[in-house]
Amino acid sequence: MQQRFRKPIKIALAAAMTMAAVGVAAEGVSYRQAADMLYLVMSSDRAVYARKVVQRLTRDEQLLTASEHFEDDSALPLPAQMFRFGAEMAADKTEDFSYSLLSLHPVNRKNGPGTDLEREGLQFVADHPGENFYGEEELGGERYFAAVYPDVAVAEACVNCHNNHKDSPRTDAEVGDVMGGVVIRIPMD
Amino acid sequence: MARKAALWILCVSGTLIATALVTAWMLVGGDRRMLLIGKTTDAHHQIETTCETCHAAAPFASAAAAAKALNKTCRNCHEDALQAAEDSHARKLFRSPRMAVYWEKLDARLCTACHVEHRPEITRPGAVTVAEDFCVACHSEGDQDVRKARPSHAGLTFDTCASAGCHNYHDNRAIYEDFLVSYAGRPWVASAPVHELAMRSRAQKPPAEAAGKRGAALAPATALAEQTALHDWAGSGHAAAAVNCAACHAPAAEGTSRAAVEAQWIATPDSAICEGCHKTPAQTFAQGRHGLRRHPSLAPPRDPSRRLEAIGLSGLLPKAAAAWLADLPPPMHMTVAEARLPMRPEAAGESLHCGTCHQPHAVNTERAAVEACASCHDGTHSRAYFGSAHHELWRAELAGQAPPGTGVSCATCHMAKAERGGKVVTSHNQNATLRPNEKMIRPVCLDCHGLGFAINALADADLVARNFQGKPSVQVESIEWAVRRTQETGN
Amino acid sequence: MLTFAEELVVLLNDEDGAPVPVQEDALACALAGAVLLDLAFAYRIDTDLQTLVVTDRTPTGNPALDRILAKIAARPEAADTRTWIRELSVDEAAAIHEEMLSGLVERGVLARQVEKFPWNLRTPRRPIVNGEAAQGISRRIRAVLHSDGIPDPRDIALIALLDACDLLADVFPAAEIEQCRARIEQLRLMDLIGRELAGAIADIERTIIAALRARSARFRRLLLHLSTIGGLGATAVLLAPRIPASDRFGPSLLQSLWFDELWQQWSGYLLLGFSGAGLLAMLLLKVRPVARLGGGHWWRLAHVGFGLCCALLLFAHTGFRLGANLNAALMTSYLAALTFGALAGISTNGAPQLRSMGIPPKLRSILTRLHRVAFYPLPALVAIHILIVYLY
Repeated sequence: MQQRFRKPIKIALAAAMTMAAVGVAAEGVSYRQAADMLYLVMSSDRAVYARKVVQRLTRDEQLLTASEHFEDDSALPLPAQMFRFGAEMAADKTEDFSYSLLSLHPVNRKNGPGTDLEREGLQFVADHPGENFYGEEELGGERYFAAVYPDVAVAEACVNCHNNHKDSPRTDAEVGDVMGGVVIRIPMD
Repeated sequence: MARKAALWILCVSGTLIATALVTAWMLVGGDRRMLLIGKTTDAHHQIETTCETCHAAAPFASAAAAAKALNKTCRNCHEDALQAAEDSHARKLFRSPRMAVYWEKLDARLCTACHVEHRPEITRPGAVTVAEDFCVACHSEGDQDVRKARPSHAGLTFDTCASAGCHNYHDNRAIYEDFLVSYAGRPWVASAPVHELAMRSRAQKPPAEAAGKRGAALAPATALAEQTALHDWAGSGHAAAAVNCAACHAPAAEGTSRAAVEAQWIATPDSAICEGCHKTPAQTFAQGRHGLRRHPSLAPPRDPSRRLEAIGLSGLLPKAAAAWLADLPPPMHMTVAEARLPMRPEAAGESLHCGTCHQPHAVNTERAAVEACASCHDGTHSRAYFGSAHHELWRAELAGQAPPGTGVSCATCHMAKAERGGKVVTSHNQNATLRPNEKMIRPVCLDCHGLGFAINALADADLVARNFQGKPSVQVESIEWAVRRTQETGN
Repeated sequence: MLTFAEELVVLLNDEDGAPVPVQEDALACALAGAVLLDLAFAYRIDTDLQTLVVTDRTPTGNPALDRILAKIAARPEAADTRTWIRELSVDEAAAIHEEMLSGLVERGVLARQVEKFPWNLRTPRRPIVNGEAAQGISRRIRAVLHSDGIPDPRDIALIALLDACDLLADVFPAAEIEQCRARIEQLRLMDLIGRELAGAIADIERTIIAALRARSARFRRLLLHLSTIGGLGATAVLLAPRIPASDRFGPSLLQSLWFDELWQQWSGYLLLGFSGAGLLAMLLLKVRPVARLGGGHWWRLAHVGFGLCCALLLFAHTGFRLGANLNAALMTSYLAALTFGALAGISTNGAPQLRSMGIPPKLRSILTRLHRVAFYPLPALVAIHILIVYLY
């Protein structure tokens, strides 16, 4: 048992330190708890960026804009981009876990469901608001624990951009809709 | 019978001795040029005898460990450029297990999936060692099938993705859809074309605090007798910035007495002196083709005595044998004779350091921007520059008939200027804008030209060879397609 | 007077003292036959259809002949001529050859030359010292062949032996022998000697023809064909352009063969294995007890067969791309070994055809030697090649 949870402990400890939150019980946590904690860190960070940086500087103080081509436009990266860059950086540094922001109606096709579990999980969180999806799958010869968390449109800006983007397959989203999901994977030793 | 036995002994011992000798070269030290299994790509031939720069794995490491170590060394040198290019197929995008299905098609986590060294038979432009239509591996099925996602691409074949001037695997900064749309409809050349950074660079003055500190030239009498050097220096930026003789020729004695300067005088200081002050040029020089041998990631020569010590042979080997086991590091400076591009025969003896292009006393950047290049480079493109429209503009600027920043020298395109901390710096890394040549569009071409013209011109190999004398005969439709699709989707 | 075996050795030595290149089998059978002829002419043995028996155990005075005589006499159960020809040609031919050479040196017919450095590349020479004695033999035989006179029975026997072993054309110009074909047949039918002796000569001759020609003709033709295929392949490889890398992405057999590391290791080790097997087949041929199995033909066939397999594997491993530096040296050496091997095979097994085309038989030994020399650097180059793969 101890053996099985070694990796989640490592991840959970890292997550716990990032959060500076309550300590994780030394006897270990399950894959599910580890994924939940990771999700809490990343979703909180994104929410902070969306509200305290993007919303404040663009809508409230109207100093800057946020744009998909933020470098060319000298603008802020969109919250979804900031989230994705974090996921890419983490992927560059570790194989202990990975996460991605996916959707059944992605603006960029590469962010559509790529595995059966992703398809099932994204459909589940879209059909069951407020619920998460947990499962296991095998990829590249290795077994993974996977968790899918619903990603809800919290602001008008999200919905507008998604409805109006030329590459978006969906144009009728409304605030409060589940736009997609965050998928977290942890390899099971 | 004796003859046969002797023959056997000779054969076996010869085989053993030859194998042992070459093995010692491989494991301990020595000249390894003869072990190269094939011509290396591009500029890598300059560093091909520092094997450990790339082959970083321990001897007899597993295939997986060797591949991992090898790929890490690629990134040691190329990662910065890939990040700057906003690599469309960055390794980090393929590390997530959700991409596992693509690993089997073409493992984008490994540089060596497409770039294998020492394989001249299969090396294609861009040092790519897979077939040119490799995009087919991932972009021909399912959601990623470009022919379905883009109706305009329905009839296209995969060997044209990169060759037509539309897509690159890594660097698409100047050819992605929204960028194309935003630059649609611009004229082929601006009404008053000027390179803004070049203009600002020419206007850059030495720091104000230097004024008045110039002082007298303090040097041994024999050195002062060289009137040209003294005269050149007096009119140079160095003199204006109070960089006096001793700063380069006797740095340890700078600001002390004449006697100390004379005692510590170095007649021909090497590039290290320049690097002390000109950090960005020196750093970028080492990243480029001219200064590659100064790149900090190069493996140093192996220390045979330490390697022998590791296998318990340190005391057993005579000195003469140890000399055989000394590594052969490449010369510090790249020489013109080693170049693979066409060079002027009279330049064969030259080697590449700061002073090769910049006369040390006059430090004339105008000479360094064209004449210095042409004193060695002798390819079609180089020769065609003289007399081209770009050259005419450069001559007009030098003659004072046109405003600063309007001329186009070799350096304008191949040593693009950039802004760092409010200051204009010249990148000495030609690679940054060289290949694929679309890399040049944003930092260079767009200063004066429209995007459509730039894409067409760079896609026209003959026009490039003629150094842009004439109009592009290639018509890349990417802007039209991007605009049409944007209009159709109503955004 | 020289013995048959000595005369044979002198005839097969050219003016420079180098041995005339002949089929090893033929030489071995000829030496065995010559010794038996000597013993028959000395009335020490007699033959009938079933057995070869010693009729007189008195030594002849020639140590080599006496050794063989003792050997035959020592065998408890009588064996036939065929058995003795085979046994002597495999077990004794080399020794007989050496003994004859030493005897000739002692008698001052030949001289022993000190072997100088490139002895690995040259066969030791024993230049003819007594030119009169040496030329006398060929002059005698020529006289018999070109005249209608009544010859000496010894000359008839020697000519019959040379003819049986197909060595006449190696000693004399092939065209000359063709012209004398009728006379050779006529000599064969001459009844000049006692019936018993004539019977023995005919028996030895017949046995040799049966043992040597019939057995080898089939193999020789096969070997010639295989070698020719190898030679044509080598020519094609040298002249044909290399197959370029595919312009289509995706699995391709040739691409995998030539550029996939795993495939490369398979083909590389197979190539090494087959090369080793080819070498082993040739080395085993030199080991007498092994060579007796199938008389060497099977081993020679195996050698050529492995060589052809190696050529195919080399194509699979490299596409006949030369590579660079040490790899280029390895490829050059290997291709040279294969090419010279094929050519040596053609010149050895197609000797009669080449002779009729006027190509000197010396070519055969030159090619065989080149084949061997090209092989010498291979073990070291292969070892280094494998090390490079695993170290870098």
